[in-house]
Amino acid sequence: MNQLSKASRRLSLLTIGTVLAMTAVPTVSMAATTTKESPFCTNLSSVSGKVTNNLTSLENKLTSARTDREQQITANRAKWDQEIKDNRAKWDQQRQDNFAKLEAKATTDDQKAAVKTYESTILSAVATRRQAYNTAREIFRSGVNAAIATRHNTIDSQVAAFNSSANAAVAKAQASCQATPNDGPAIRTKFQADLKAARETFQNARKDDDKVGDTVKQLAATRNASFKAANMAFEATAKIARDTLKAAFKNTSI
Amino acid sequence: MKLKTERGFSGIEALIIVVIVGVLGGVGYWVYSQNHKKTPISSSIQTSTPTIKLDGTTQSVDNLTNQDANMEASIDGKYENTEQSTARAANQAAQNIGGAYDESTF
Repeated sequence: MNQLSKASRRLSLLTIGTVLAMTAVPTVSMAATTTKESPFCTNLSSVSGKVTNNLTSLENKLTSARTDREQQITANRAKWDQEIKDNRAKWDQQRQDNFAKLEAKATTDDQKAAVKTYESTILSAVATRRQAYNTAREIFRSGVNAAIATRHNTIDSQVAAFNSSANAAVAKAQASCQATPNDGPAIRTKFQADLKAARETFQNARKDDDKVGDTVKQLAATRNASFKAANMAFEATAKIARDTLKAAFKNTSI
Repeated sequence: MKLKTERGFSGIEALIIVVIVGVLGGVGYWVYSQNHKKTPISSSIQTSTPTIKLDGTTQSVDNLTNQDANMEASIDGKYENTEQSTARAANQAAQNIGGAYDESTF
Protein backbone atom coordinates (compact mmCIF):
# COMPACT_ATOMS: atom_id res chain seq x y z
CA MET A 1 0.00 0.00 0.00
CA ASN A 2 2.87 2.35 0.86
CA GLN A 3 4.55 1.60 -2.40
CA LEU A 4 1.37 2.37 -4.27
CA SER A 5 0.95 5.76 -2.65
CA LYS A 6 4.62 6.56 -3.25
CA ALA A 7 4.22 5.65 -6.93
CA SER A 8 1.09 7.72 -7.33
CA ARG A 9 2.76 10.65 -5.63
CA ARG A 10 5.71 10.37 -7.98
CA LEU A 11 3.35 10.17 -10.93
CA SER A 12 1.49 13.28 -9.78
CA LEU A 13 4.70 15.23 -9.35
CA LEU A 14 5.88 14.11 -12.78
CA THR A 15 2.61 15.14 -14.39
CA ILE A 16 2.64 18.53 -12.72
CA GLY A 17 6.28 19.05 -13.71
CA THR A 18 5.55 18.16 -17.32
CA VAL A 19 2.58 20.49 -17.51
CA LEU A 20 4.61 23.30 -16.00
CA ALA A 21 7.44 22.68 -18.43
CA MET A 22 5.05 22.61 -21.36
CA THR A 23 3.58 25.99 -20.43
CA ALA A 24 6.81 27.67 -19.30
CA VAL A 25 8.88 27.04 -22.41
CA PRO A 26 6.50 28.60 -24.95
CA THR A 27 5.86 31.53 -22.62
CA VAL A 28 9.59 32.24 -22.34
CA SER A 29 10.12 31.90 -26.08
CA MET A 30 7.14 34.11 -26.85
CA ALA A 31 8.40 36.75 -24.48
CA ALA A 32 11.71 36.75 -26.33
CA THR A 33 10.19 37.29 -29.85
CA THR A 34 7.05 39.61 -29.40
CA THR A 35 7.75 43.49 -29.63
CA LYS A 36 4.94 45.97 -28.89
CA GLU A 37 4.45 48.68 -31.62
CA SER A 38 4.68 52.24 -30.32
CA PRO A 39 1.66 54.55 -30.73
CA PHE A 40 3.67 56.84 -33.03
CA CYS A 41 4.34 54.03 -35.47
CA THR A 42 0.74 52.92 -35.25
CA ASN A 43 -0.48 56.41 -36.12
CA LEU A 44 2.23 57.21 -38.68
CA SER A 45 0.03 56.55 -41.70
CA SER A 46 -2.61 59.04 -40.52
CA VAL A 47 0.13 61.61 -39.80
CA SER A 48 1.61 61.27 -43.27
CA GLY A 49 -1.87 61.43 -44.76
CA LYS A 50 -2.49 64.71 -42.93
CA VAL A 51 0.77 66.20 -44.22
CA THR A 52 -0.01 65.14 -47.80
CA ASN A 53 -3.59 66.47 -47.66
CA ASN A 54 -2.50 69.82 -46.27
CA LEU A 55 0.18 70.26 -48.92
CA THR A 56 -2.21 69.31 -51.72
CA SER A 57 -4.87 71.70 -50.45
CA LEU A 58 -2.46 74.62 -50.25
CA GLU A 59 -1.02 73.88 -53.69
CA ASN A 60 -4.54 73.95 -55.10
CA LYS A 61 -5.07 77.36 -53.48
CA LEU A 62 -1.85 78.58 -55.10
CA THR A 63 -3.06 77.41 -58.50
CA SER A 64 -6.35 79.19 -57.96
CA ALA A 65 -4.60 82.41 -56.88
CA ARG A 66 -2.45 82.29 -60.01
CA THR A 67 -5.51 81.91 -62.23
CA ASP A 68 -7.13 84.90 -60.53
CA ARG A 69 -3.96 86.91 -61.04
CA GLU A 70 -3.87 86.17 -64.77
CA GLN A 71 -7.49 87.23 -65.15
CA GLN A 72 -6.83 90.41 -63.17
CA ILE A 73 -3.86 91.33 -65.34
CA THR A 74 -5.88 90.80 -68.51
CA ALA A 75 -8.77 92.89 -67.20
CA ASN A 76 -6.45 95.69 -66.01
CA ARG A 77 -4.71 95.89 -69.36
CA ALA A 78 -8.02 96.08 -71.20
CA LYS A 79 -9.04 99.03 -68.98
CA TRP A 80 -5.61 100.59 -69.48
CA ASP A 81 -5.92 100.40 -73.27
CA GLN A 82 -9.40 101.90 -73.15
CA GLU A 83 -8.22 104.85 -71.04
CA ILE A 84 -5.36 105.49 -73.44
CA LYS A 85 -7.77 105.34 -76.38
CA ASP A 86 -10.23 107.73 -74.70
CA ASN A 87 -7.41 110.13 -73.76
CA ARG A 88 -6.09 110.22 -77.30
CA ALA A 89 -9.55 110.81 -78.75
CA LYS A 90 -10.11 113.73 -76.37
CA TRP A 91 -6.88 115.49 -77.28
CA ASP A 92 -7.35 114.75 -80.97
CA GLN A 93 -10.68 116.57 -80.88
CA GLN A 94 -9.17 119.56 -79.09
CA ARG A 95 -6.32 119.63 -81.57
CA GLN A 96 -8.75 119.63 -84.50
CA ASP A 97 -10.70 122.49 -82.92
CA ASN A 98 -7.50 124.46 -82.60
CA PHE A 99 -6.49 123.64 -86.16
CA ALA A 100 -9.84 125.01 -87.33
CA LYS A 101 -9.12 128.31 -85.57
CA LEU A 102 -5.64 128.36 -87.10
CA GLU A 103 -7.07 127.78 -90.57
CA ALA A 104 -9.46 130.67 -90.03
CA LYS A 105 -6.48 132.98 -89.59
CA ALA A 106 -5.05 132.06 -93.02
CA THR A 107 -6.09 134.66 -95.58
CA THR A 108 -3.84 133.95 -98.55
CA ASP A 109 -3.37 130.71 -100.49
CA ASP A 110 0.21 130.50 -99.28
CA GLN A 111 -0.90 130.82 -95.69
CA LYS A 112 -3.63 128.21 -96.15
CA ALA A 113 -1.15 125.80 -97.72
CA ALA A 114 1.32 126.49 -94.90
CA VAL A 115 -1.37 125.74 -92.30
CA LYS A 116 -2.26 122.45 -94.04
CA THR A 117 1.41 121.46 -94.15
CA TYR A 118 1.79 122.34 -90.47
CA GLU A 119 -1.27 120.30 -89.52
CA SER A 120 -0.19 117.19 -91.43
CA THR A 121 3.34 117.44 -90.00
CA ILE A 122 1.98 117.72 -86.45
CA LEU A 123 -0.50 114.88 -86.95
CA SER A 124 2.21 112.65 -88.42
CA ALA A 125 4.56 113.51 -85.53
CA VAL A 126 1.81 112.74 -83.00
CA ALA A 127 1.14 109.37 -84.68
CA THR A 128 4.87 108.55 -84.59
CA ARG A 129 5.09 109.51 -80.92
CA ARG A 130 2.03 107.40 -80.08
CA GLN A 131 3.43 104.39 -81.90
CA ALA A 132 6.66 104.76 -79.91
CA TYR A 133 4.57 104.88 -76.73
CA ASN A 134 2.67 101.75 -77.81
CA THR A 135 5.91 99.89 -78.45
CA ALA A 136 7.40 100.96 -75.09
CA ARG A 137 4.18 99.91 -73.35
CA GLU A 138 4.22 96.47 -75.00
CA ILE A 139 7.85 95.93 -74.01
CA PHE A 140 6.91 96.82 -70.43
CA ARG A 141 4.01 94.37 -70.41
CA SER A 142 6.08 91.56 -71.95
CA GLY A 143 8.73 92.15 -69.31
CA VAL A 144 6.14 91.87 -66.54
CA ASN A 145 4.82 88.64 -68.06
CA ALA A 146 8.34 87.19 -68.22
CA ALA A 147 9.07 88.20 -64.61
CA ILE A 148 5.86 86.52 -63.42
CA ALA A 149 6.64 83.35 -65.43
CA THR A 150 10.16 83.15 -64.00
CA ARG A 151 8.86 83.55 -60.47
CA HIS A 152 6.15 80.97 -61.13
CA ASN A 153 8.79 78.40 -62.19
CA THR A 154 11.01 79.21 -59.21
CA ILE A 155 8.16 78.73 -56.75
CA ASP A 156 7.12 75.47 -58.43
CA SER A 157 10.68 74.13 -58.00
CA GLN A 158 10.67 75.16 -54.34
CA VAL A 159 7.29 73.50 -53.73
CA ALA A 160 8.43 70.30 -55.47
CA ALA A 161 11.57 70.18 -53.32
CA PHE A 162 9.48 70.80 -50.19
CA ASN A 163 7.06 68.02 -51.14
CA SER A 164 9.92 65.65 -51.86
CA SER A 165 11.63 66.36 -48.52
CA ALA A 166 8.39 65.90 -46.56
CA ASN A 167 7.67 62.61 -48.34
CA ALA A 168 11.24 61.45 -47.69
CA ALA A 169 10.81 62.20 -43.97
CA VAL A 170 7.63 60.09 -43.91
CA ALA A 171 9.27 57.22 -45.81
CA LYS A 172 12.23 57.29 -43.46
CA ALA A 173 9.96 57.16 -40.41
CA GLN A 174 7.97 54.29 -41.90
CA ALA A 175 11.17 52.31 -42.55
CA SER A 176 12.35 52.99 -39.00
CA CYS A 177 9.00 51.89 -37.60
CA GLN A 178 9.22 48.62 -39.53
CA ALA A 179 12.73 47.97 -38.27
CA THR A 180 12.16 49.00 -34.66
CA PRO A 181 8.46 49.49 -34.05
CA ASN A 182 8.88 49.97 -30.33
CA ASP A 183 11.35 52.81 -30.78
CA GLY A 184 8.55 55.36 -31.31
CA PRO A 185 9.91 58.32 -29.32
CA ALA A 186 13.27 58.35 -31.14
CA ILE A 187 11.64 57.86 -34.54
CA ARG A 188 9.18 60.65 -33.80
CA THR A 189 11.96 63.05 -32.79
CA LYS A 190 13.86 62.35 -36.00
CA PHE A 191 10.68 62.66 -38.06
CA GLN A 192 9.87 66.06 -36.53
CA ALA A 193 13.42 67.27 -37.19
CA ASP A 194 13.26 66.17 -40.83
CA LEU A 195 9.89 67.88 -41.39
CA LYS A 196 11.15 71.04 -39.71
CA ALA A 197 14.23 71.09 -41.92
CA ALA A 198 12.06 70.70 -45.04
CA ARG A 199 9.72 73.52 -43.96
CA GLU A 200 12.54 75.90 -43.04
CA THR A 201 14.38 75.26 -46.29
CA PHE A 202 11.22 76.19 -48.22
CA GLN A 203 10.50 79.29 -46.15
CA ASN A 204 14.08 80.56 -46.39
CA ALA A 205 14.05 80.07 -50.16
CA ARG A 206 10.78 82.04 -50.35
CA LYS A 207 12.30 84.98 -48.49
CA ASP A 208 14.88 85.48 -51.21
CA ASP A 209 12.73 85.61 -54.26
CA ASP A 210 10.09 88.33 -54.02
CA LYS A 211 11.79 90.53 -56.58
CA VAL A 212 8.94 91.00 -59.04
CA GLY A 213 8.22 94.49 -57.66
CA ASP A 214 11.80 95.62 -58.34
CA THR A 215 11.65 94.15 -61.83
CA VAL A 216 8.44 96.06 -62.60
CA LYS A 217 10.06 99.31 -61.45
CA GLN A 218 13.05 98.73 -63.71
CA LEU A 219 10.77 97.96 -66.64
CA ALA A 220 8.81 101.15 -65.94
CA ALA A 221 12.03 103.19 -65.91
CA THR A 222 12.97 101.75 -69.31
CA ARG A 223 9.49 102.52 -70.61
CA ASN A 224 9.64 106.10 -69.32
CA ALA A 225 13.03 106.61 -70.95
CA SER A 226 11.48 105.50 -74.27
CA PHE A 227 8.60 107.95 -73.71
CA LYS A 228 11.08 110.75 -73.12
CA ALA A 229 13.03 109.93 -76.28
CA ALA A 230 9.79 109.88 -78.29
CA ASN A 231 8.78 113.24 -76.80
CA MET A 232 12.11 114.80 -77.66
CA ALA A 233 11.84 113.57 -81.25
CA PHE A 234 8.32 115.02 -81.43
CA GLU A 235 9.46 118.39 -80.03
CA ALA A 236 12.20 118.65 -82.64
CA THR A 237 9.72 117.96 -85.49
CA ALA A 238 7.10 120.30 -84.02
CA LYS A 239 9.64 123.13 -83.71
CA ILE A 240 10.59 122.92 -87.37
CA ALA A 241 6.90 122.84 -88.39
CA ARG A 242 6.14 125.79 -86.10
CA ASP A 243 9.01 127.90 -87.45
CA THR A 244 8.01 127.12 -91.04
CA LEU A 245 4.42 128.17 -90.36
CA LYS A 246 5.45 131.37 -88.61
CA ALA A 247 7.67 132.26 -91.53
CA ALA A 248 4.68 131.90 -93.86
CA PHE A 249 2.58 134.17 -91.69
CA LYS A 250 5.40 136.57 -90.80
CA ASN A 251 3.44 136.96 -87.56
CA THR A 252 4.64 135.85 -84.13
CA SER A 253 1.10 135.54 -82.79
CA ILE A 254 0.63 132.36 -84.83
CA MET B 1 12.12 187.40 -45.76
CA LYS B 2 11.45 184.83 -48.47
CA LEU B 3 11.86 181.26 -47.34
CA LYS B 4 14.14 179.05 -49.44
CA THR B 5 11.97 176.40 -51.37
CA GLU B 6 13.35 172.89 -51.37
CA ARG B 7 13.15 171.18 -54.79
CA GLY B 8 13.14 167.44 -55.65
CA PHE B 9 11.75 164.41 -53.80
CA SER B 10 12.41 163.48 -50.25
CA GLY B 11 14.08 160.17 -49.49
CA ILE B 12 10.83 158.47 -48.53
CA GLU B 13 9.04 159.68 -51.67
CA ALA B 14 11.87 158.31 -53.83
CA LEU B 15 11.67 154.99 -52.04
CA ILE B 16 7.90 154.77 -52.57
CA ILE B 17 8.34 155.50 -56.28
CA VAL B 18 10.97 152.78 -56.62
CA VAL B 19 8.68 150.28 -54.89
CA ILE B 20 5.71 151.14 -57.13
CA VAL B 21 7.82 150.86 -60.28
CA GLY B 22 9.22 147.56 -59.07
CA VAL B 23 5.73 146.14 -58.40
CA LEU B 24 4.42 147.28 -61.77
CA GLY B 25 7.46 145.79 -63.49
CA GLY B 26 7.03 142.49 -61.67
CA VAL B 27 3.36 142.25 -62.59
CA GLY B 28 4.15 143.07 -66.19
CA TYR B 29 6.83 140.39 -66.33
CA TRP B 30 4.48 137.82 -64.82
CA VAL B 31 1.75 138.59 -67.37
CA TYR B 32 4.31 138.33 -70.19
CA SER B 33 5.66 134.99 -68.90
CA GLN B 34 2.14 133.54 -68.57
CA ASN B 35 1.34 134.39 -72.15
CA HIS B 36 4.57 132.91 -73.45
CA LYS B 37 4.85 129.91 -71.15
CA LYS B 38 5.58 126.49 -72.75
CA THR B 39 4.24 123.49 -70.97
CA PRO B 40 7.19 121.11 -70.77
CA ILE B 41 6.73 117.49 -71.80
CA SER B 42 7.49 115.16 -68.95
CA SER B 43 6.57 111.68 -67.99
CA SER B 44 5.74 112.77 -64.46
CA ILE B 45 2.33 111.96 -63.13
CA GLN B 46 -0.16 114.80 -63.21
CA THR B 47 -3.43 114.64 -61.41
CA SER B 48 -5.33 117.44 -63.10
CA THR B 49 -5.83 118.56 -66.66
CA PRO B 50 -5.04 122.25 -67.08
CA THR B 51 -7.21 124.28 -69.42
CA ILE B 52 -5.53 124.82 -72.76
CA LYS B 53 -6.57 127.91 -74.65
CA LEU B 54 -7.75 126.95 -78.13
CA ASP B 55 -6.80 130.18 -79.81
CA GLY B 56 -5.47 128.88 -83.14
CA THR B 57 -1.82 129.38 -82.28
CA THR B 58 1.13 127.03 -82.54
CA GLN B 59 1.60 127.60 -78.80
CA SER B 60 -1.76 126.08 -77.98
CA VAL B 61 -1.08 123.18 -80.39
CA ASP B 62 2.18 122.55 -78.54
CA ASN B 63 0.43 122.76 -75.18
CA LEU B 64 -2.31 120.38 -76.29
CA THR B 65 0.15 117.82 -77.58
CA ASN B 66 2.35 118.09 -74.52
CA GLN B 67 -0.63 117.67 -72.25
CA ASP B 68 -1.75 114.67 -74.35
CA ALA B 69 1.66 113.09 -73.74
CA ASN B 70 1.62 113.93 -70.02
CA MET B 71 -1.84 112.45 -69.51
CA GLU B 72 -0.88 109.29 -71.36
CA ALA B 73 2.25 108.90 -69.23
CA SER B 74 0.10 109.50 -66.15
CA ILE B 75 -2.24 106.69 -67.18
CA ASP B 76 0.77 104.40 -67.69
CA GLY B 77 2.06 105.35 -64.25
CA LYS B 78 -1.26 104.49 -62.64
CA TYR B 79 -1.44 101.09 -64.29
CA GLU B 80 2.22 100.41 -63.56
CA ASN B 81 1.28 100.43 -59.86
CA THR B 82 -1.61 98.08 -60.60
CA GLU B 83 0.69 95.72 -62.54
CA GLN B 84 3.13 95.71 -59.65
CA SER B 85 0.56 94.82 -57.03
CA THR B 86 -1.12 92.26 -59.28
CA ALA B 87 2.23 90.63 -60.10
CA ARG B 88 2.67 90.09 -56.36
CA ALA B 89 -0.74 88.45 -56.03
CA ALA B 90 -0.51 84.71 -55.28
CA ASN B 91 2.52 85.57 -53.14
CA GLN B 92 0.64 84.84 -49.94
CA ALA B 93 -0.68 81.55 -51.31
CA ALA B 94 2.91 80.47 -52.07
CA GLN B 95 3.99 81.61 -48.62
CA ASN B 96 1.18 79.62 -46.96
CA ILE B 97 2.53 76.34 -48.36
CA GLY B 98 5.31 76.67 -45.79
CA GLY B 99 2.64 76.42 -43.09
CA ALA B 100 1.26 73.09 -44.32
CA TYR B 101 2.07 71.46 -41.00
CA ASP B 102 3.39 72.10 -37.53
CA GLU B 103 5.78 69.21 -36.95
CA SER B 104 5.59 69.71 -33.16
CA THR B 105 1.99 68.45 -33.21
CA PHE B 106 2.95 65.01 -34.62
